Formats: sequence, C-alpha cells, structure tokens
Amino acid sequence: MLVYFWLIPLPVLATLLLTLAFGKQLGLKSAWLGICGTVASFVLAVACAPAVFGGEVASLSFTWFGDLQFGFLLDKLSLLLLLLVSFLATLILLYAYGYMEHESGLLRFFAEVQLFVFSMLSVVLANNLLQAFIFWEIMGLCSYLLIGFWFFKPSAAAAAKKAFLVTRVGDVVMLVGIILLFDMFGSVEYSVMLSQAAAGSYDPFWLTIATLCIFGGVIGKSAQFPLHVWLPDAMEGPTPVSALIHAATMVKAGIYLCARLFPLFLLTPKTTDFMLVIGTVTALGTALMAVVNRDFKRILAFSTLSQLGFMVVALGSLNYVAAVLHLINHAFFKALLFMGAGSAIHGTGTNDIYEMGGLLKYQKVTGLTILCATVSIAGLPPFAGFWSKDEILLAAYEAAPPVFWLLALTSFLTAFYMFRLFFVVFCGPKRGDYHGHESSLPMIAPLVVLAFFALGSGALTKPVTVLLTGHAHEASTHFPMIISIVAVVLGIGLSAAVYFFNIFSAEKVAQTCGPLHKLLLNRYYIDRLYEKISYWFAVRFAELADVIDKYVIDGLVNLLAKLNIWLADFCRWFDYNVVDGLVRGFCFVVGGFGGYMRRYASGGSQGYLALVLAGVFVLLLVAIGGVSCL
Amino acid sequence: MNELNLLNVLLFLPLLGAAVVFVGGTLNKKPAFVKCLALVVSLLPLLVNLLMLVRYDYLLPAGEFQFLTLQDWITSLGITYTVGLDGLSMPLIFLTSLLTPLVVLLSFDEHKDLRTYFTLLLLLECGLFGVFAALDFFLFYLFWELVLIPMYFLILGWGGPRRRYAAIKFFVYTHVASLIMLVGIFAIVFSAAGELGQMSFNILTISEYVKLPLNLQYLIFPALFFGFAVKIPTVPFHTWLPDAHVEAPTGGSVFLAAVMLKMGGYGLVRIAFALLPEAAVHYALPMAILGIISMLYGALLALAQDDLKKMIAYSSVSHMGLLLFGLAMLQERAFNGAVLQMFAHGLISAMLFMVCGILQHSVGTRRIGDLGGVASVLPRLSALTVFAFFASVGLPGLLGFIPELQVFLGAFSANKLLTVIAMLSMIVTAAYYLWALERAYFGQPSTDLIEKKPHDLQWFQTLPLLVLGLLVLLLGVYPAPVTDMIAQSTGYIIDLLGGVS
Repeated sequence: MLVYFWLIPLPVLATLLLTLAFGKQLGLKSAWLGICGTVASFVLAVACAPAVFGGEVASLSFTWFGDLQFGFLLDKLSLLLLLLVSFLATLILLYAYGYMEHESGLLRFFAEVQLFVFSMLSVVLANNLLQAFIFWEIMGLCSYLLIGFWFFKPSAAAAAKKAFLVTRVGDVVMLVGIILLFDMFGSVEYSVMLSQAAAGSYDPFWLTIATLCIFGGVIGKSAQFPLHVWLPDAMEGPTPVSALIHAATMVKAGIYLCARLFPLFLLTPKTTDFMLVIGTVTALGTALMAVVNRDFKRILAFSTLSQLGFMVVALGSLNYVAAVLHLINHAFFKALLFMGAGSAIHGTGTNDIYEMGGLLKYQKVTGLTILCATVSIAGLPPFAGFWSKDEILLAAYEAAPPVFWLLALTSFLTAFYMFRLFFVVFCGPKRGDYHGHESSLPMIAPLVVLAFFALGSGALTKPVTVLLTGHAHEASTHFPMIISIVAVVLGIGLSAAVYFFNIFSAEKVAQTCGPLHKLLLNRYYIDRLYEKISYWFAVRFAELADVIDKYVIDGLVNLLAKLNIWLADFCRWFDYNVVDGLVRGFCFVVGGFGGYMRRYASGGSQGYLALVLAGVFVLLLVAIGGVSCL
Repeated sequence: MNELNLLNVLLFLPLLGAAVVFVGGTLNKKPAFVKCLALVVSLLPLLVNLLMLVRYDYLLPAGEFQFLTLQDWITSLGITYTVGLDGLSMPLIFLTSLLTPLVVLLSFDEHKDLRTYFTLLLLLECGLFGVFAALDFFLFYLFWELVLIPMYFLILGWGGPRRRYAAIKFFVYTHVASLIMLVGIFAIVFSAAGELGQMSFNILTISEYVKLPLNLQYLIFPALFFGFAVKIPTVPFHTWLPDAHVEAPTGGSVFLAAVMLKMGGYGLVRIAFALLPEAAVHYALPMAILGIISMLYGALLALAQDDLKKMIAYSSVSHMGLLLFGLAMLQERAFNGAVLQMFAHGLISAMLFMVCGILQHSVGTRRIGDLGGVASVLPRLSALTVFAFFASVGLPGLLGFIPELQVFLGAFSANKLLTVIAMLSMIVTAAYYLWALERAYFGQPSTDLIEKKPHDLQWFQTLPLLVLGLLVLLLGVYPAPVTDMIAQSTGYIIDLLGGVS
C-alpha cells in the first residue's frame, strides 16, 4: 500500500475536475462529489497508517525540470496532518452542503474548496520546500477567492485583497529564505538540507537569516504579529471557509512547515528567540482584542490568532511536539466553533453577539457542542485543549519564564472571552429580533462528531508524543499546570460573574478603561497605520512616479520630438531664406541688371545709332589721347 | 538539401497568405468570407510550425541550428540568405504562429476594412518569423524594419482617439533605435570584414571566425543595446509603449506585447550577447540595475494607472525588466529564466490584452474609475481575467512563476542584494492587479452597467483565451518541454560569457 502513498491528494483533484465539468448540473450536490474525494483521500491515508506509524518512511522523487526535483514524503508527521486535513475537510464539506443551500455560485465555491484541500494535502506531502511553497501559494489563491466569494460586497472584496497582499509580503520573504537555503545546500529537499545541517556544513549566519526568512512566511500565512491583520477581515468569507481555511488548516501550514524544518530551527537560537517574542506578542495582543469584540466570527478569528501564537511559542521554546499537539486539538475545537457560529448566525441572521442571547433555547445541539468546544479551548481539564496548552506552558516555563507568565495571562483571557461569548449568545434573555430554529441535519451532524474530538482529543497527547519523539514526555514540574488551571478557573469565574450572574456591568468597566477599550476596539490602530502606509505608497508614490514618467521621461522624448520639429522648421526657414534666398537673390540681381540694361535695348534704331556714335566718339578720344601720349 | 526546408515554407507562407487574403477580400467583400479565409490562411503556418516542433531535435549540441538554409544572395557584399532555428528562437516562432490565428479569431467582431486588417496582420507575422529565423545581418535588419510598417498602419487605421500621435511616436522612436542598431551592425560587419578578408553579413560566419577587439566591443555594445532596449522596452526608453498600446486595436496590442517586445530581448541575446560577450560582461551591472529599475518603476507606474490597458502596458515594462535583469546576471539559470520569460510573457500578456480588449468592446470603457462590479455582469470574462491576472502575478502552477523562480534562484548566487531588491516587485505586482480587480471587477455594478446588458464572452473570444490559458497552466505545471529546449541552446552563449554558473 505504501508504494501508492503519493496518490493521497489525487482523489480530491479528480473530484475537482469532475466538479468543474458537471458542477453546473449538480449544483449543491457537488458537495457530495467533494466528500467522495476527501473520503477517498482519508481512506488512502488510513491505509498507509499502519506501515508509517510502524516507523516506515515513504518517499518518491522525480525530475521536474532542469535540476529541480518534484517529490513526495510520507512520514509520521505528514501522515498525521493528512489524516487531520482530509477528515476535517469531509466534515466541513458536509456542513457546507447544509450551509450553502440558498447560495448561488456553488460550482465556484465547491471547486475552490476542493482546489484548496488538494493544495493543502500537497503542501503536507511535499518532500521539498519549493514544492511546498508552490502549493502554499495556491492555497493563498484559494483563500483569496473564497474570502471574496461574495465579491459584490465591497467589504469582502477588500478583505480578499488584504489577505492576499499581506500574506504575499510574508511569502516573498519566505521565497528569499528558500532561495537562500537552495544556495546554501544546493537543494531544498528536506532530507538533504537536514542531513547537511546535521553534518555541520553550513554557515550559521546565513542559516539564521534563512530560518528567519522562512519564519517570515509563517508570520504571513499563520497570521502572526505584525502580519496578523488579514485574518479578522478574512471572516468576510462564508463560514465553512472560515472553519476550514482560516481556522483548521491553511493557517496551520506555517506551524507544520516549522515542525518539518525543526532541526534547522534548533541550530538557530536567534530565530527561535524571535519566534518566542512574536508568538507571545501575538497570543496576548490578540486575546485582548477578542475580549472587546462583538462580532461572533471575529472573536473566533482573534482567538485563532491567539492560539496560533501559542503554537509559535511552542516552536520557539523548542518543543515542536507541543505545537503539533495543539495544532491538532485546535483544529478540532476551532472548526467546531466556527461551524457552530455559522449555525447560530444562520439561525439569527446577525453576526453581533449582543443581538443573539438565549439561543440555547432554540439551538440545543449547536449550543451544547459549542459549550464542548469552549471548555476545550479555555483549557479546562481534562478536555483536549488543556493537555496541549499545558505542554506549551511547560515548554515556555522551561525556555523563558516571562513568556510563561504572559501566556498564563493569555490563558486567563482565553477562558474569559470564550465563556463571555457562550454566555452572551446562548444564555440570558433573547436580545435580538430573531426567529430561532435549529439548523438542518447536514450542519448539525459534523458539530456532534467534532464535539467528541474537541472533548476527547487530549487522549492523543501521549500516543502522538511517543509517535513523534519515540518516548513519552515527562513533566519535570507541575507548577505551570497549576498556574494554568488557576488562570482558567479565574477566567471562567470572572466571565460568569459579569455575563451570567451580572454581578457587575461590563459597560462600566469599559467606560472606566475608556482609552484602552478604544485602543483594543480599533485593533491598536495597526490596520489603520497599514492602510495609511499602503495608501501613501499606492497612491501618492505611484502618482509621483506617474508624473515623473509623463513629464520628465516622456517629456524629454516629446521635447526631443519638438526640437526635431523646430530644427525642421528652422531648416525650412534657412532653406527658404538663405539657400533659396541666395538663389533668388542671384536671380534678383541678374534680373534687375537685365531690367536696367533693357532700357538700352529699346529696339529703336536711332537710339542704337546714337550709342554707336557715342562709342566711336569715346574710342576716338582714347585713340587720340594714346597717340598724343606717345 | 533535397528535402524541402519547412522553415522556408513557414517564413513565406504568411506573405503568400497576405496576398491571398488581399485578393480574396477584394473579389468577395462579404465579411464572413474574409474572416474565414483569414482564419484558414493563418492556421496554415501554425500547422507547419507544429510539424516542425514534432521534428525538432532536442539532442543537438548547443550552437547548432536546425532547419538551416544557407544560400548566397548578394555575393559581392557577402550578403546571404541564412535562416535557422534553435531553442532560443523556436519558442518565439511558435508564439508568433500560435497568436496569429488566435488574434484573427478574436478580431471577428472587427468591422472596419477587414481585408486590409487581416493582410496587415499576416504581413506582421511574416516579419516576425523573419526576425527570429534570420541568421544574416542584412536579412535580420530587413525583417526587423518590415515589422514596423504593418504595425504602424494597424495603429493608425484601427486605433483609438490619439492614434496619430501614438503611431508616429511608435514609428519614429523605434526607427531611430533601429538606425542606431544598424550603425552597430555595420561596425561589426566592417571590422569583421577586416579580419575575414572579405565582406560577410552572415551571423554564423562572424560568430565562428571573428573575435572583435575589446575596445571596439565596448563601443559597439551601447549602440546595439540602445536599439534593443527601446524594443524591450527598458526604462527610460519605454514611453512609446503605453501610448502605442493604449491606442492600438486589441489585435495590435496582443502582437505588440506578446511578440514585438521579444524582438528586443531576442536581439540582445542573439546578437549583442553572443557576438560581444566581453562587452556584455563589462556592461552587466548597469544593465542589471536598469532591469531592476524597470521592474520596480514599471510596477509602480502600473499601480498609478486608471486605464486597465495602460496598467497592463506598464506591467509589460515591469515584466520585461525581469528579462533584462536575468540576462545581466550572467548566470546560467537566471539567463535561461530570462529567455523563458520572453515566451511566458508572450502567452500571458496576450491573454491580458485580450481580456482587456473584450471588456472594452462589450462595456465601452476600460477606465477603472468608470467600472466596478463587472464580475456580476460578465462572470465568464471576469473569471478568465482573474486567471490571466494571477498568471501575470506569477502564481505558482502557472507559467508566469517559472521564469521568476529561475531568474531569482540563479541571480541570488550571483548577487544577493540586487536579487532581494528585484524580488520586491513581486509584492507590487500583486498589489496593482488585485487592486484593479477589486475596483473594476468586484463590488456592486452600477445601474448603468446593468442596463447596458453587455455581452459576455462569445465563442470566438473564449476559444483563444482558453487555448492560451491551457498552455499557461500545462506549461506552468510541467515546463520541461520549453526549459529543456532553451537550456539546450543558450549553453554556448553562457560559455562565451565566461561560463559563470
């Protein structure tokens, strides 16, 4: 079976082509076509599981063009991701079947989703960095197209552009890193790079630059500070897209890539220190924004940013297993949260959590499954989120205690804002004007399945750790765990006090911390700063260039042309007045002389006779004079 | 040489075709007849070319030419009729022969004097074939100038409101450049004559037996470079291009961007680099910097445009900057990437100008400020526009990415700093395309636009776009057929340049 491992992404490609061919006729049923593809991929991945988890590594490589290689690599890490992606994609397609019921443009939607799944699987399966980059960019395209699915909404169109451009900045930095690695190792195949690095044949300075550049790509795609701005806006896309691309899979690709290249990061402590800083800033900064936001999906987006920050911290504190564990758990509970959000939004017709309220009465399944995800993401033991977060906190505690304390604060905030979300939406009185109803079965079924994983995927902690490292990870101290539990309990308690028992009012707190509240609502003004900068660049600077082009460069060309015309005019003048003037002057002189002389040629014989006589007379005088002189 | 050389057939088939279309169009003035006649006639060179591709020998060593014909012509001056193909010219010839029928198809909704229009297109094709196939300076220059004439009349006769200014500017600017290039060519020929003992215009002879002295090379190179740089066009010799593009009819723009600009790059490689390698190395850094300026400055200018066609025209300046940059890095991979960029940009810019022209025809404007929401009204055209834009952005998986990758990958080992600066253009390029998409195609359509009920793609517009799109996709996924062809033939030039690899 393992021989055919490279087939894993192909069923999705096949169903993508089928969707393109028959999507018009199939309409909503394209979802089933897509599900067939992802299920087939999942089954193929499962079939490979026994051998790979037994320790086998499958790889295949062939020439792409020139000396560049194209190839696939299946090991434990990539198989874990393949299983996760194909499984979640199946559930989300099923969900989309219900969610997209009343939409038009379904062919486009399902084709783009399948192209995305195909590229995500291919990123995971790639055996070299360049190939991963290729599919990484195609994922970016899919993200762009799907965020802009409702392209007639100006906000969606702007969000799509923002997402692509912001990640493009990261991607170009990453391409620099890839080229640098290619230059250093002569290949960007993972095995070649890692073995050469292990052998010590590298320049530490350039390797640090290269890993920093690769991490630059991760900052873009996994939406870390300072390129995090695109993810909240990306929520303009349909909810299944938010669940699949902007929570469960694409934003994790960066984490996966770092885990893949982890030995290189181990060799570059400066880069990992940088990752620690970036991860912490992102985790805390975005959690704070989640506390004040009112938009259901945007709160989840900020929370995704924050959780990605946790994963980056795990990588930065040299524990990639913790990052992968959190990646898996987060994929489950965040996909569930988004799909639940979609269900709630579907039922109420609004995104504003303060217009929902008391929704549990109408949407029992949605509410309860969201509660499962909430306890999990908050990090309440013994649910999934607790285990992986605990691993990360432990790693951070060992790597850098200040980071640990900031993350503990973030944990507190996470518990607070997630329960705030739950209480405001599902408990209390009905605030909005909606006719609540439970969503259809295709939307509910995936929620229930995911709820089990959100609660129980913590059980994977030990097996996955053993799988990836060969031995279980024993905690040296339980201090971080205790702190974490305390933080979570405090967070939930405070949240309940404010939003469930209404002991004190949130608005009052917001008023007392007015400036801070405003700062957070405006996302620290970072978005606005970027808008200003890009406006200056795109409009002012470009206009300046345009003016230079029109008036200086083209002005010179036109001036040359004008000079030529002037020269030609001058030549004409010169030709007419000087050259031709000479000719005409000559004619004038000759003519004038002739005219003058004409007087003496009047044609009368008396006149001629008189002239002859005068001549004879003169000649006589001369002759006489001459003789007398002699 | 008993067998008929297909290249000669290919070379003169369009000329014959032009005559046939002209006579046919005069005898039968029905538009449908002229269109079909032109289509059939323009398909013949493509068929011949496909046959040549099948017979193309991938294993021939670098520097050898295929389909070679060598015939004395004006013996006293050493002028010969020499034509031949290698991996440098074959992709460009293919591009030309492919685009002609596609442009004819696309022009099916043209009304004005179809007979002359198609005749001019076919004459243009003949000239372009000649430029890429000629291996004799005299022949080369002859075809080089032949190309100008039909294009001048295409702009003048079928162009936009400022067509007189644009046509004259185009003609005079490029003609002046050609003359300076001619001076360079004469300098090569006469100094070669001194060395050979007899006059020869034959490029093969000169490149084989003549090695020009250094100081002479340094003098001649700028003259040749100017001639080619105007055609490429490189900043600051680019200002004829936006005017010509904006005013030219769609078919003319397609030829202009897709093939005529490549004459510059081709000439630079075939003549300037191959015959004056030492001078090329000498002037490499200034050329690389000009290339980078073209990339960034062109992209910036594209960002500032309100006219979609002008934006695309400036994007051509930017993308041709990559060509110059890649060549000037004197590194094998970058060099091959630059050569591939000519082919890739040919296919992609043809698509770009096609979608832009179709938009103009169906909506009546290409001003971004007047558009908005086109995607709701013209979904199929917009889908293909998005495809073409992303191909031009250099999305991996499409052909536009391959030359970019090759150039940057190769150039990085030659000069890290310059390469990183050049890579900034990738961001600006994405910015102007996406911004244009957002403003012109997305958002709510105005009531004006909806009431106009514009035509979405018709079959004769879809077909050319699909053919090009499919090629861009397939070669983007598996570029080996082209890259192998190019790598096979550029080897000797790179060796001359000192074999920096």
